[in-house]
Amino acid sequence: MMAYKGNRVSERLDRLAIAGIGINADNGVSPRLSIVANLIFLAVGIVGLVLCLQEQFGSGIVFGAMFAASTHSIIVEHRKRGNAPPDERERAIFWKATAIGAGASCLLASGWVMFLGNFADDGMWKPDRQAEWRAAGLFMIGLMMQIANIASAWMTPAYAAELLDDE
Amino acid sequence: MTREIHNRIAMFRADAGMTRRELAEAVGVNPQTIGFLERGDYKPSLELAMSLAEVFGVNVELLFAFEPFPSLSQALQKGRE
Repeated sequence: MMAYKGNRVSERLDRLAIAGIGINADNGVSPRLSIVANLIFLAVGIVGLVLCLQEQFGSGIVFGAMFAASTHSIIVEHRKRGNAPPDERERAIFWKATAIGAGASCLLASGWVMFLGNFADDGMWKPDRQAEWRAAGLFMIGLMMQIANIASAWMTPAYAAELLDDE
Repeated sequence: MTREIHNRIAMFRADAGMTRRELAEAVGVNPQTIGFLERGDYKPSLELAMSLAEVFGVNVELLFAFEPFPSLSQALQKGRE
C-alpha cells in the first residue's frame, strides 16, 4: 500500500481502500478483505439464481460464485501459512467456521421449505426446471462456503503488521 | 465461563533471544499463532501451553495466569522491598 506516495489522490484512494478492506489486503490475508470478497460472491450467487429463474444463463454465474469462494479460501489459506499444515488455532477456526456455514445453510434451507409449505398455494418459488435445481444446489453449496469463509475471517484477529514480520 | 488468561510469552521469548518463527517451529504452530498468543487474542490448548513452558524450561503457571502479571519495574521494586 501507499505505492504512490506524494500523489494526494492516490494516497486518499489508498487510505479509502485500507479503511474498506483492511490492512495487509495487498498480500491477501486481511480478514476484512475476505469478508468483503465473500459478500460480493454471495451477491453474485443471488443474482445468478434470479437470472436462472428468469430462464437466462444464471446457473453458470451461481457456479462461478461458488467456485470463486472456494478458490478464494484456498488462496487465503496458502498465503497465510504456505504448505505448512494448519495448527490447533487454524483447525479450530476451520471447524467452527464450517459448522457455522453448514448450520446457517441448513437453517435457511429448512426455513425456506417451511415457508414454501405455508405459501405453496400462493406460488412461492421452488425449483422446477433442471437448470433451476442445478442452480439451487450450487447456490446452497456456495452459500455454505461463503458463510464459512466470512465466519472464519470474523474469528481471525486482525493481523498486526509486526505479526507478519519474520523477525 | 470465559476468563481472561494473561501470559508472558513475549517476555520469555525476548529473554531466550528467540524470534516468533523460531518459537513457532519449536512448538509446531504457525508464527501468526505465537503473535496472537502474545497479544492475548488466542487461548492455547493445554498441550500448546505446556509445550511453550517446556521450550522456556519453566512451569506453565510462570507463563500463564488468570491475574495480570506485575510489570518488570513492579517486580524489581517488590524485590528491593
